Amino acid sequence: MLDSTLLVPGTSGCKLLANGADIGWPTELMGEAWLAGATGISVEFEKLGLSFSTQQLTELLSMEFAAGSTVPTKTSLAAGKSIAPGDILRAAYNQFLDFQVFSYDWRSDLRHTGQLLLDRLKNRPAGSKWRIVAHSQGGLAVVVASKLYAAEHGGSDTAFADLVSHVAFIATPFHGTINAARALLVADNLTPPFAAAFKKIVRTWPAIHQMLPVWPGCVRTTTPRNDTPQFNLTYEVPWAGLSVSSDMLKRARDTRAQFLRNPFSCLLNVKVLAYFSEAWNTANHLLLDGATLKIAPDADGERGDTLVPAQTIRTMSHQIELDRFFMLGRDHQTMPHFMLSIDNVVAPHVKAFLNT
Amino acid sequence: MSRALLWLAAAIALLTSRVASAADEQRADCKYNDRVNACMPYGCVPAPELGSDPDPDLIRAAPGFCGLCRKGHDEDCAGAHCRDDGTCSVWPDAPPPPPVWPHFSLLVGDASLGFQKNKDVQPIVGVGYVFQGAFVSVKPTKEIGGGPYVAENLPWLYWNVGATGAFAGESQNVFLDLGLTAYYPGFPLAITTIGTGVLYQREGAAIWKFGNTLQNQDRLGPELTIGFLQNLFVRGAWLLPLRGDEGASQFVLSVLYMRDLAGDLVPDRFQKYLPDAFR
Repeated sequence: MLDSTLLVPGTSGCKLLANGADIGWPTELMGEAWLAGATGISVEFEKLGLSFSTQQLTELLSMEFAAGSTVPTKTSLAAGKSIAPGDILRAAYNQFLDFQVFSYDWRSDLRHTGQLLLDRLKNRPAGSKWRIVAHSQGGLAVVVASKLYAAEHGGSDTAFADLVSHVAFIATPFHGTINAARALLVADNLTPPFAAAFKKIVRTWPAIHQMLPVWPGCVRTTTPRNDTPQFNLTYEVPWAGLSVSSDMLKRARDTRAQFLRNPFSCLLNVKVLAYFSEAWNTANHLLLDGATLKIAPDADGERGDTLVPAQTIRTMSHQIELDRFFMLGRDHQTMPHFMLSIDNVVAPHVKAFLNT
Repeated sequence: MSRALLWLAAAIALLTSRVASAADEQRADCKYNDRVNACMPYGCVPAPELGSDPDPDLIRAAPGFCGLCRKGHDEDCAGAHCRDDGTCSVWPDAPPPPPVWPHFSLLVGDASLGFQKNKDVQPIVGVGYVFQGAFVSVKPTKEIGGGPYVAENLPWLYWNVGATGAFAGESQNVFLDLGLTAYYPGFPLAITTIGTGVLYQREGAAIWKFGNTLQNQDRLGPELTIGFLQNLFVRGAWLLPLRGDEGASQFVLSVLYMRDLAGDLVPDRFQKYLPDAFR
């Protein structure tokens, strides 16, 4: 591949460094969290200057933002620590290791990430345009970057094409994912013994809120109520009493309205293809039982990639988007969401597409 | 004078036709935030009964009127950009995605153990390459009714070929394998492939020499490989002697892993504890 290829990984797709030291996210940190939660044994975490307590883990991974600001005031609440993105997790992108990489703090505000990505894209290799493969949240960062660049150029929806020739979106949750809501609600998709701690932690991460699902029916009420169609999971209504930050939800709504609602609108003249899988059972709603928000049974989902529900994304998309979607896995398994980039069909097709 | 009157009449006609045209557009019904924009090049704006600022995420294909699209409301243009002049961008047809030949390749590390009767277990650590290729290509097709592109009948059976070599030390090893692989990421336990085939091993101090039975041993036998998330492959092979091994067979158990897998699984601060061969 040429120098102009760029990989933008997804959530958890980059390591996290605390003062430059790899904290072992997610594999080793999860393992240690499980071990500490299950046995009380804390292994080697002291090397970071911390013992593996719930309190210190929470402080290490939590962020702080001034209300309305997209730039974090603190990337870690642990005294004297700051967290920065590190190298990508190569196992999830082993077919793209010859690409340049945009590493970013996937916890942070998508608008800040989009700006950092745009700054990177502006420094394009001489005489060429970027050809981007963007996985999951990475695709949302590309969308934000395209709209920021359009805004810098008088609202031109073709400006981004001066920087970028191709974008391959892989499993990008353009309209959110129930998994983000699940992280805020129960956090059991992180590590069960530390679920309570992680629930506090992820509630300080704007990106998780900005990936909350927005489609009609993402909250299903078990008892009829008049305002059911009036909200989705970026609104306060379903989170009532759950200590989810209003500022974070507002970030989600603002980001949605300004950047994510019509994801391709500033990609005119860019070759775009978005890959989705419909091979796996995927959650598409939560239940609101009275005032209590609950996880829906797995069997009540739909086909998807374990994170992005395929039928929902079809329903939510306009024709110019559908014309650039490539759905896989209806009649055969694909890799699940977090590994879809290295699927035997997706990876070679992305490379072929980037060369069209 | 008559010429001036003619110009005036023409100008009036032109103006009235534009007013009539705009009025026609205003009267035309459309579906706001629909899949397509029926008002091109104008937008479809929400009808008053939807309220002053309806959330487009909660309403689709709602009552609307053709007119100038609202700045910042690309949903008025069915996902295309609403320009400053109130018209919508026109998107060209998307070219169909290219056909795809499903395949996969990976640079690997190979940590093998050789078990032979009356001999110590022999560790062999090398590097190599694995490849899986489908027997057919897949052509994306457009779903009927204007849906997305889809790929039907994805192959599940692949041919695979691989080679690894270990050239450090007095006795060198090279493994070559050829076989068939079933690719099915829905297997349990993060298994993505199960493969079978034949594995050839040449071991000796001069493995590049052909026909030298004194310095090399050649073995060949069936293998079974299980792949995990296309990053880790566990292979067992029962190798029968072809030449120079005094009739002894050998069982080889191998772990082949993506070149940088250790970097993912083991944090930087623990990398120093890894054996050199695994880094």
